[in-house]
Amino acid sequence: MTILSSYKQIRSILILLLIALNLPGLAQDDPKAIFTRALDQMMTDQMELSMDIATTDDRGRVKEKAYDILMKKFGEVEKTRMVMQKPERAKGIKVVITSTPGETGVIEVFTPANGKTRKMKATPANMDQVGSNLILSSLTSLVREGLSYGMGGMQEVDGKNCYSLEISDHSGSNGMNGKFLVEEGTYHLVRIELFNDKGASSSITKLSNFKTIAGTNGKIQAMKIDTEDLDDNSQTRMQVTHIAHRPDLKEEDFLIQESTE
Amino acid sequence: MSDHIIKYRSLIIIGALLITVLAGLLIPRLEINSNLDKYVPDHLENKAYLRELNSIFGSTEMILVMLHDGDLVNAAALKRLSALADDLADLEGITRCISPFDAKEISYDDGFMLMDPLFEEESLDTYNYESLKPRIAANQMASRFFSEDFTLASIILSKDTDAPESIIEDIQEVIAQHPGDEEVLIGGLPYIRYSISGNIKSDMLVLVPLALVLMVSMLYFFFREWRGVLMPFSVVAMSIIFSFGIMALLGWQISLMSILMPIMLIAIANNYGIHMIALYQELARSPEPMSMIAICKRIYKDLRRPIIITGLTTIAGVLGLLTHSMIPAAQLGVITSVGIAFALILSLWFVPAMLSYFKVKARTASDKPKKTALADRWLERFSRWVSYHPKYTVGISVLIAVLGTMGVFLVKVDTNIEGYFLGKSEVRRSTELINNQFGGAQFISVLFEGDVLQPDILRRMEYYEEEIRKQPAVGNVNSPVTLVKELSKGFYTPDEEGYNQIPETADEAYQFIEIFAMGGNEDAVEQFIDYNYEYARIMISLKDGSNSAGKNLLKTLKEMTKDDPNVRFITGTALTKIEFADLVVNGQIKSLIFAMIMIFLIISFIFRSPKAGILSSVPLSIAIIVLFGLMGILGISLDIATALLSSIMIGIGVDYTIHFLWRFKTERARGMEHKEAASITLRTTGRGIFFNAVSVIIGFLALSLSYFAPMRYFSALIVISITICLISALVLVPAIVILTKPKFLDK
Repeated sequence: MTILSSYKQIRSILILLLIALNLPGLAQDDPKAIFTRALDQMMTDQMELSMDIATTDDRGRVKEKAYDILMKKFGEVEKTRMVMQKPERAKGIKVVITSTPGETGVIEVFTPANGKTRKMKATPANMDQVGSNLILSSLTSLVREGLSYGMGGMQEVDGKNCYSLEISDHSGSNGMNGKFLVEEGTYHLVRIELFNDKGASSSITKLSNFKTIAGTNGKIQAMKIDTEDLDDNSQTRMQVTHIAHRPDLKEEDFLIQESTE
Repeated sequence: MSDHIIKYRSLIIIGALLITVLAGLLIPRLEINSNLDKYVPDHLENKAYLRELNSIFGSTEMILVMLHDGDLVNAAALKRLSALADDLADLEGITRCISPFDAKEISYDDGFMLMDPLFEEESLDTYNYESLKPRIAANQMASRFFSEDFTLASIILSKDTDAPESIIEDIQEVIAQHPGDEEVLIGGLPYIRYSISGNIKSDMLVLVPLALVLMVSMLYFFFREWRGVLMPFSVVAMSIIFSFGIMALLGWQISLMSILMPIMLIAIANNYGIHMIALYQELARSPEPMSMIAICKRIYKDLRRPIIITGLTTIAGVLGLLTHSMIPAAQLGVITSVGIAFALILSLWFVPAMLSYFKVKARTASDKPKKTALADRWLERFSRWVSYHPKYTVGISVLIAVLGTMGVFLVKVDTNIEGYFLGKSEVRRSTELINNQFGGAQFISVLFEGDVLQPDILRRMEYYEEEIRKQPAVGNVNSPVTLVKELSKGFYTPDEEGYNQIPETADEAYQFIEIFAMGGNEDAVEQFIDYNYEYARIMISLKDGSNSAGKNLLKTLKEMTKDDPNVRFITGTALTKIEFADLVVNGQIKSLIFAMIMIFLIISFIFRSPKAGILSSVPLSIAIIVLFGLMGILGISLDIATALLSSIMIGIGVDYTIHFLWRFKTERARGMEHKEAASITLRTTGRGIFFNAVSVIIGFLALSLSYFAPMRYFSALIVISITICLISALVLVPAIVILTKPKFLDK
């Protein structure tokens, strides 16, 4: 696995955050309510984060990457900017995704080695090209159209009592079926297990080391996210090294560097 | 001892049968191993390099699933191909699955970079397929999946090195789940090996029994009584069962070479029983009537020593295979020796014990002419001619040997398993299609190490690629250069410097690849550049899989890259067979030398004279020279089957020679002159030798029905070999002893 898995991890977090934004709070004994509460307390918008990602493939080889990420919604327009910091040769590669509801968004890619900027239409296929097709519109609309929720009882994870939520969505092309474990009391989302269309476990993500973000009225973020991809036997360790609330972000911050053309 | 055999005959028979049954019960444990690579010792250079290459890039073993029809660029065929690719990718043991649906069309248009899939499954009904064809042909990422005339389309699967060959059955199951009008073919080395495994089984199940039936028929034809058939047949069948049982007990696997074990035992183990039956018939026909018990005792007494000697020398000859570096060849030597030893014991104890229960067949007036007319009349004439023209005989033999020597230098070695299959078999067809239309399924990789995206290294790779393409045996050549040049089309317009060119800096190349990989194209990248971009490789496929083609290309590659500091090594599955061929030749030479020395020593010791050793070795040497000379002249290659011929030949040839010498010595001891002794020997022991040889030759003809080409050649060559051995024992050896009058035969 290369950069794609990194983006997939990033987008997984973002998906969850965006889901939370779109769900009203409900009662605690309701799986939807528990899920909503868990997500509602997580950092979602107006933020800046840096993360180190180490991916180990099925043969034990390790690839290390680092990214700086900005996210903000400007009205209905959602913008995400990712800048590669590691490895050295890829440093400065930028991907900016602009998504407007009802319109085909734009993906811009800047490669510093030749100073070229290339634009792609944010079609589902092209969103896949940058591993970001689930980031914005598709998932938020998916949430709006509704997920199926089930309560799988209580389960212990690392000595903590957790709600086991069975959540699935088959409304769009990106079907999802997963088990989400939310810690009782804190409502921290600590574990996500996704299943493939044959019902077999395809990945397990563990979230830990939750940190409260200053200036956000108690919003939190998991600083350590470990994912095991059971399909290709790879592992991804993500460490959020920096996270900050950035209400001051402007549209100019999401401009890709000028092309030399 | 002969009294003991008669006294304990029931016990001997029950014991022998019990051992055979116990060994037979172990046979179902046997497993088949058809992987050529596993025959090659681990320390050999290419195998070690290949292991390292696989650790960097993953498995280099490829399986091709091909659709074949008049025109495959249409919605129905591509939908089927897409469905197949989806399901094949999910199979356990498949590490990578790439198909035309992974091909991207990269372009730059109106300020936007387009990196679109060339085909999208959901749009297959909407394409204008005639206009699509030129786009496929122009796209290097897509065209590799199609033949030039679009009658073939392929899916390329990488097989996990540790995955069993039975993965082919899973692939066949997936294909069955997606029926369609197009023919589906599977190809690649794993499929060839899987087919070899299946056909080894069917060959074993059909050919060995058939060989036995043919042998039995011939024995009956010669001896004209069932006891004459039953005894040698029992010895052969029981020794084969015993050997396979021991093989299972030791945990050894059946390889293609193992097919030869029962065949060798049919040829060798048969020998002892036949001589016993021949002597039994000779005694039964003697003027002095003898009881069966007396005959059995006499047989044991007369034949014990020559049978033990022939057994030991044959074992020594076959154990020559132990010097082979190929593990299955060494195992074959051991197991066949065990089988021969068991056959030896059975012949000495079990055969007289069994025979003693029969009654001497009552003679009729017409009996003698029927039994002796044909063989004896010929042997009579023949022995007279040999006895009176020994100089001619030796002279002609020497002339043939000289001619044969010239042919030896023409012998070629070919261990390409693609050549195992004949005619219109599916394996043969798919192999030919892959070689002719897709550039072959056997690969050679040139591994580069260092900062492999540096422009100067990429330019060298580009130069090598161009030079390699000029080689006639080469099918396709791919490297990171192909990839980065294709990717440059997405960053530069056709009128810009840099379009379809190697990037100016390593960083630029790196970033092209990183952007491409981030779109889920890791598989396309990792074929040529490793996980952390520290290694890269040029991948060359061979449309001509022969050893000579591989050897020539390897020489060219080594010459071309000898001063390149970044070239770490050259390796590939296509080179395994070249090392294997070297092993075959070296093993052949070593086993021959070992066998000849051992036989020389044993015979010298037994006859108490080094001249006996030389006398036995000369006809064998001439026979071997003639055999390899014929192979060279007829263009039959030395392969893993034919490489074992000399061991079988020595095993058989020395037996014939010893039987002749032993009887000759007996006749000399009875006071016969040399010519007379030779004549009597040819008419008595010569009869047994002749029957043995002919029945074995007929038995071996069963191999001409084998699924494998090497086995068919083997069949033809073994007939030639045994004929040469027969002529050596019945013509050359008598001629030499008449001419040289060796003293060791007078003692």
